[in-house]
Amino acid sequence: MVRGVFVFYYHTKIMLYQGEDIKKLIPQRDPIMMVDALVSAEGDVCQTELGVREDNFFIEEDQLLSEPGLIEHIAQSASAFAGYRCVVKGEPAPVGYIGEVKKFHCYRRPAIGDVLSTTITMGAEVNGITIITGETKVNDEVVADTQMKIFTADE
Amino acid sequence: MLLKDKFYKVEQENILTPLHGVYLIALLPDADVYRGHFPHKPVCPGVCNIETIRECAEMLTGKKLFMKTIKQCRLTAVATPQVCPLLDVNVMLTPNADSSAYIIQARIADAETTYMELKGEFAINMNK
Repeated sequence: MVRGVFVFYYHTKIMLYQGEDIKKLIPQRDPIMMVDALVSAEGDVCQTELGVREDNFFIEEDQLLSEPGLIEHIAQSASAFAGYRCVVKGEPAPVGYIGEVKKFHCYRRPAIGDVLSTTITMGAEVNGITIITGETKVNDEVVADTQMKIFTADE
Repeated sequence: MLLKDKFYKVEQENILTPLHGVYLIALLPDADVYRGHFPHKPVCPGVCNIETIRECAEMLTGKKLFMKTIKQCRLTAVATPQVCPLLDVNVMLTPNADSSAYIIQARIADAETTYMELKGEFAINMNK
């Protein structure tokens, strides 16, 4: 794995997609883009990141991110992963809708300056419905986790 | 509040009991969020409907509520300001054993369609 070698030697985080390129993977745009980068993707697991900035749509009056902001971040992380898997096959990125949120827990609302680091595990797609699990950490602390059913709509 | 008077406006408040209220809301078609969800195709983000439920529960109780757990939230139809300009947000709360949180059951619907059903536990005054 060339990528692994680079990480090992230079300790530089190499992102698969970031900045403007994320728009190739997800259909959401400002003011509700909730993924900064697809960090890695392998098999059924991917990692994403989001820096919580003060102009984030979900920042409340108390300057903390609202819980639905975490849910949206996890949903868009899954969407970015699904988009990535299509793009590498040369297919257009799909539009996914959340069909169900299940067993969502929020342990702490992230603050401005926190970097959310999220792991998505994607299940098999059955009849356009995919079950995913997501776990979001800030540093090494789990701040939220959930299961979700995402359904894919044809544009 | 994050979305009140930005994403929706409360048209009518029906307080049935101190822990059960039905809020008639109007979705605001010019809400900023539709610029990005999705360009040229406005669809209510499911998470905005979840936030709307929380805000209605906060209006009902007069307390800041922390969304500790969503046991299950089903998004049963796609909501848009065109499809469902007016919605009923039905919020039912039950205090938990030590009164630190409410067990919530909520539904967003109009006369024909249910758009969202949510069951969870919202804690009082955490992180605030």
